[in-house]
Amino acid sequence: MSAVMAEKPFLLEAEGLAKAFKGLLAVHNYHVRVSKGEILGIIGPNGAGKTTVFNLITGVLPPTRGWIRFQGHNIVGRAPHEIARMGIARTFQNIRLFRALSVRENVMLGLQMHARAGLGETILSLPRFLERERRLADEAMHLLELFDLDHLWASPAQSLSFGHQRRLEIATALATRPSLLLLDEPAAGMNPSEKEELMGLIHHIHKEFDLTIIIIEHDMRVIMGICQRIQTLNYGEVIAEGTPAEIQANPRVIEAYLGHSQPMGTLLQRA
Amino acid sequence: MNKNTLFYLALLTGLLFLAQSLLNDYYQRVLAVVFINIILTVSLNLTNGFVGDFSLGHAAFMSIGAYLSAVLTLPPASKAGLMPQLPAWLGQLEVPFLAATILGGLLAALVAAVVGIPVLRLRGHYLAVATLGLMVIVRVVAINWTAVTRGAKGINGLPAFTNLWWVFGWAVVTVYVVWRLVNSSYGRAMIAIREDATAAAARGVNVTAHRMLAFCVGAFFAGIAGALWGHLITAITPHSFSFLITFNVVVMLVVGGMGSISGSILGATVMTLVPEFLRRVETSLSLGGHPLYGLSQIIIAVTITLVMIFRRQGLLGGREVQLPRLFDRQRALPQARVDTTG
Ligand SMILES: Nc1ncnc2c1ncn2[C@@H]1O[C@H](COP(=O)(O)OP(=O)(O)OP(=O)(O)O)[C@@H](O)[C@H]1O
Ligand SMILES: [Mg+2]
Repeated sequence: MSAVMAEKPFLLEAEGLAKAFKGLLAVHNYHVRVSKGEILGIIGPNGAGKTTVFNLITGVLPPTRGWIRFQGHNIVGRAPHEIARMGIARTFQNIRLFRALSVRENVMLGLQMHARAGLGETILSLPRFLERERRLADEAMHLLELFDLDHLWASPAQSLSFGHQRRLEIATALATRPSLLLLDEPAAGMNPSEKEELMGLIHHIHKEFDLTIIIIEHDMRVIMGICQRIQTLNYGEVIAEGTPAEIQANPRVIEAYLGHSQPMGTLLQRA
Repeated sequence: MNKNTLFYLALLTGLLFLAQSLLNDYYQRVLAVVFINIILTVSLNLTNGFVGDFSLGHAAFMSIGAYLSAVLTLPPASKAGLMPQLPAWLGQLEVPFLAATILGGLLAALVAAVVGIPVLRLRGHYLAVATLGLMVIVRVVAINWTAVTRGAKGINGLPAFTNLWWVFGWAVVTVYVVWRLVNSSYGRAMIAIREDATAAAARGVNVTAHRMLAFCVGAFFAGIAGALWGHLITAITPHSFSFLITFNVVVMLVVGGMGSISGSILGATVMTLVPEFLRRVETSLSLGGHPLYGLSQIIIAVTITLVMIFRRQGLLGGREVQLPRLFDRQRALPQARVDTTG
C-alpha cells in the first residue's frame, strides 16, 4: 500500500460501502480515501462494481450500507444535484449528453448553477438576466476552446462524432467547477492516438483546474500512465490497492483478470 | 422587447381591430376560442413538451380558475339570488375582471403545487394518473360544494367580460412568459431533464424544482384560460371542463409538435378552426336526407392517427418557426436545438 500523506484530511472518504441489487451484492465492503490533488485509478473485470461505486458517490443510488464523506461532510442521502453542487462531477460510461441542446448549451447547463438570474429577472428579461446569460455563454466558449470544440458550439450535441462527444462530456462536467472529477471509462472506443490525446488532456485539466480525479478505465496503458494509485475491484470488493508497479505485480490482480479471460497480455506488456 | 416583436404585435393588434369590426359574433367567438386554446396549448407544452412530464390536468385547472373568477366577478345582487348561502364577505365582494382572472390562475397554480409536491419527486408517469384523479376530485367538489358552486346546476349569468382583447392579451402574455422561460437557464434545465434526468441532476439541476415550476406555471395559465372561457360562455357547470377538453389540448399539442411554442400556436389554431368548420359542413351536407353528424370527429380522429403514423414529431417537429426579421439582425442567440421527443 502506498503511503498517503498523513495529517492532511482526505477529500473523499468511504468506508464499509455496500450495494445490493435484489440479492446481487454489486459492491461489498468498499473503502476509499482520496487526498486532494490525487489521481486514483479503479480497475477490475466487467461487472466488478466500478460504475456502481460512482453511482453511490454521486447519489444516483443509495448505498445499502456504509458512509461517504466529502470535504468532511457526510453525503449519503443527499440528492444528486446537491452532491454536484458540493463539487463532485462525473462522466458516464455510456456518454450522456443532452442531445437536443447545442454544444454550448450543454456546457452552459453545467455552469449555470453558479450564475443564474432569478425567475422574475428572467421573465421580465431584466439587464441582469441578459448579462448573466452572456456571461454563461462566454464562459462556456472559454471552456470549449480548451477542449478544442469551440468551432462546434452551435451544433446539436447529438451531431458530434463519438470522440468529440466524449470530450464534450468532460467539458460539461468541468463546467460545474468540481473539486473531484469522476471519469467512467473515458478512453472506451477511442483509437490509440485519441487515447494519447485524452491522457494529455486529463493531465492538463488536473493541473489547470486543481482537480482530484478518480478514473475507471480498462485500458492499462491509460491507467498506468495517469494514476498515482490504483484500486482493483473484483466481485464488488477491493482486492488490491497500490502504485501501478505494485498492482502489476500483484498475483490476486493477475488471477482476477485471468479468471475473467481478459487479455492479460495487455496488463503486463503495455505498462 | 425589440423592434421586430413590437412590429408583429402592432400588426396583430391592427388585424384584431379589423376582425372586430368585420366579423360577426359567431366568428369573433371562434377567434376568441382560438386564443384561449393557444393559452392552453402553449402552457401545457411547458410540462408535456419541454420537461417531458405528462400532465392531464388542464381541464381541472381551468375549472378552478373559472369557478373562482365567477364567484369573484358576479355582482353582489346576482350572488344574493344565485348563492344565498355564500359567506357574507364573499357575497359582498365584487372584484374587477383582471384581478379575478389572476386570482383564478393563482389558485390553480396553488392546487398544482399541492398535487405536485408528492408526485413530482417520483420518476415515471405518476403525474398523468394524479392529474386525472385531480379532475375527478375537482368535479366532485364542484358538484357537492353547493353553497359556492351551486352544484350540478352550475353558475350562469356570468358577466360577459371576455372579448377579443382579453384573450389576445393573455395569449401574448402566455407566449411571452413561456418563451422567456424556455430560452433561459430554466428552459435549458427543463430540456435537459426531458433528455436525461439523471445526467441533468449530475450537472447540478434540481430536477424536482424545475418539474414543479413548469407544472405550476402551466396550471396558472390554464386557470386564466378557464376564467376567460367562463366569462365568454357566461355559464359554467361541473361538466364544462371534462376530459374532452384535456384531450383536445393534448391533441393540439401533439399535432403542432411538442417542445415548440410556434408549434403549439399552430396546433391550437388548426385544431380549433378545422373542427369548427367541419361542424358547419356536416350540418349542411346530407346523405339520403340525414345530416352527417359525427363526420368532423371522424375526420379529426383520422387526422391525428395520420399525424401519429407519418409525422410523430408533429407539424413543426419541435422546432421554432421564426417570423422574418424586418429590422435589426443582431442579438438573437442562435438556436441549435433539435427535437428528440418523437
Ligand atoms: N441499477 C442496477 N440494477 C440492478 N443491477 C445492477 C444495476 N447496476 C449494476 N448492476 C449490476 O451490478 C453489477 C456491477 O455492475 P457495474 O456496472 O458496477 O460494473 P462495472 O464494474 O462498472 O462493469 P463494466 O466494466 O462492465 O462497466 C453487475 O452485475 C450489474 O449487472
Ligand atoms: Mg462500468
